[in-house]
Amino acid sequence: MQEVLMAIAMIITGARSELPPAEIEARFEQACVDGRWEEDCPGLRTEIEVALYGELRELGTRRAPIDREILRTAVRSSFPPLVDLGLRRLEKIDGPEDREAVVIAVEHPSPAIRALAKRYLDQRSDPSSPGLARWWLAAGRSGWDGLVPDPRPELRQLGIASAEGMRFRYFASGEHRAVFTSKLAPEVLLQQIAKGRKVYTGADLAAAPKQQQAFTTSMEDVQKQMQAAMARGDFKALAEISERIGKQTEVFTKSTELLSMQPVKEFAGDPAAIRYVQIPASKSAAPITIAVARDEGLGETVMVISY
Amino acid sequence: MKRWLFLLALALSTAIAPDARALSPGCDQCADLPTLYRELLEQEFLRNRFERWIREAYYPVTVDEMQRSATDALSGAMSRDLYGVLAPAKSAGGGKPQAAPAYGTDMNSKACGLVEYVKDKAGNTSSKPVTADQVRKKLCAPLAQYTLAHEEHHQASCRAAWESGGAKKLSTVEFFVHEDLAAYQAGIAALREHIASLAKKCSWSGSTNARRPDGTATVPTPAEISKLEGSAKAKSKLLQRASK
Repeated sequence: MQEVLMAIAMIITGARSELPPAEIEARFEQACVDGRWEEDCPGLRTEIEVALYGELRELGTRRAPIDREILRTAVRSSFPPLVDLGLRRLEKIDGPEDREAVVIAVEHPSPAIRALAKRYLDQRSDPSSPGLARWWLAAGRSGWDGLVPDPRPELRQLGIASAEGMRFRYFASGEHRAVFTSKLAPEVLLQQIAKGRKVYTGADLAAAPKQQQAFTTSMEDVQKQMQAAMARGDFKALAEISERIGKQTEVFTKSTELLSMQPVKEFAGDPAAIRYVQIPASKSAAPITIAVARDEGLGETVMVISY
Repeated sequence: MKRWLFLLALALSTAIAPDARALSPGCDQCADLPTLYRELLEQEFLRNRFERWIREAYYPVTVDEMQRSATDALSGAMSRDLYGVLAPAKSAGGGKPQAAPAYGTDMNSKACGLVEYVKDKAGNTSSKPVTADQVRKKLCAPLAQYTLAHEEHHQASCRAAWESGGAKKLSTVEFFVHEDLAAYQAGIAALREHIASLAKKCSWSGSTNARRPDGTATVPTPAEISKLEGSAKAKSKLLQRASK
C-alpha cells in the first residue's frame, strides 16, 4: 500500500527526498518556506505530506480529535490520500477558512478529490456551484482509482506555445479536451495564442449547416441553368454561372471548415461572442480547435482546446 | 436507621448507567476505545482519591460526606481535563458532565445484596435490588465484568464482616475508604485487561511493559496521542509556510 501511495505522490510532486527522515523537516524549513523554494523542495514536501498522512491516519484509528486547522492544511496539500483524508474528516464547510481550503481542493488533479470538494460546496449552495456545474466533467473513476491524478496535456499537444496568464482547470478538462481560464480578455488571449489566424464566431458555426444546405440546393439550380445555357450556346451566361459557382464554392469551403469545429455547449449567452480558431495539428492528427469566450459563471475568460 | 451502601460512581450526565449510547453492544470495537478509556480514567481518579485519603490519613468526617466529596471531585475533573486528548465532544445541550452512583452493595444485612441506583422523573435517586445477571444484561460484557468485580469485592468484605461478627466496622469512614480503594482497584484491573486486549487489536500503542507494578495490564497512554498530535501540528504549520 505504501508503494502505491508513494507512486501517486510522485506523479504529482516529483521524486522523493533522499535525506534521512529526521532531517527532512529541518531542510524544508531552511529551503522551502517564506519565499525560498529550492530544487529539492517538491520532494521534501512530498515526504512531509506522506508523513502527515501517516500521523493523521494513526490519530483517526485511535479516534482522537484532529484540529480543523490541520485538516485544512491536509485539504490544501497535494498528496491525494492526505487531501482525501482531510476532506473526509472536515465533513463539511464550516466557515470561510474551510471554504477557502475546499475551493482549492476542487482544482486538485485527482477526480475523487474534486468530486468530494464539489459535493461540500454544493451542500451549502456555494456561489461557485452553478459555475462549476456548467463546466464540470465527471471523470468516471472512483475509490482508489479516483485518487490517481489526471494527466495534464503538454502545450505542444494543444498547439500553443505558452500558457502564461492561463490556469489549467482539471474539473472541466478530459480526454482530448483542455480547459484553461484567464483574467485576460478573450481578444487579448486570442492574440496571444493564435495571432494572425482566421477567427470565427459561434454564430458562424451555427450558420454553417444552413450554408451547406443552401449550397447543395443552389448547385442543383446552377446545373440546370448550365445545361440550358449550353443548349442555347450562350457563352456569356456560362461565364456568369462559372463566376457564381466560384463564389459559392468559397462559401462551401468555409462552411466545411466550420463544420469540422465542435461548438462548445457550455458557453452561455450570445454565440456571436464566442471566438473559434482552428490550428493545424502535427502529423496526420485532426486540426486543433480553440474556443474562447467570457464566462460569467466562472467570472473569467474560458479557453477550451479540443485536440 | 441509616442504610450504609457502597457506591460505584460512574460518570454520567443523563442516566445512571455507562454511556451505552456511545458503545457497541459488545464494547469490542475500536471506536469503543475512547469511551472505555474515559471510564478507566474516571475509575482511576476515584481510586486515587481514596488512596490519597489513606496516605494523608485525613478522612472525611462521615461516609455520606466521603461519597459526596468523591463524586463531586470526579464531576469537577470531568469538566476540566480528566480526559486530556480523549475528551469527548461537548454535548448538544452544553451541560456539564456529572458523576453519579450507578451500582452499590447493601451491607445492612448479611445477604450483602447488589443494588442499582435509579432516578425518578423528579430527579430523586433511590436504590433497588439487582442481580448480577441483570447487570450483565444491561451492560456490555467488559463493563459488566468490571462493575461486578468492584461490587463482588464489597460483597465479599461485607459477608466476611457479618460472619465474623464485625459488622459494626462497616459504618466507619476508615473502613469505607480502605474498602473502596480495594474495590476500585479490582474493577480497574478488569477494565484494564479488556482495554489492553482491544487496544492491541486496534493498533493503539502502549507501554513496552505488558504489566504494571500492581499487576494490572498496561494500556495505551494518551501521551502517545499527544505526541502524534504535536508532530502533525508541526508539519501542518511547516506546510502552511511553504512557498509553493
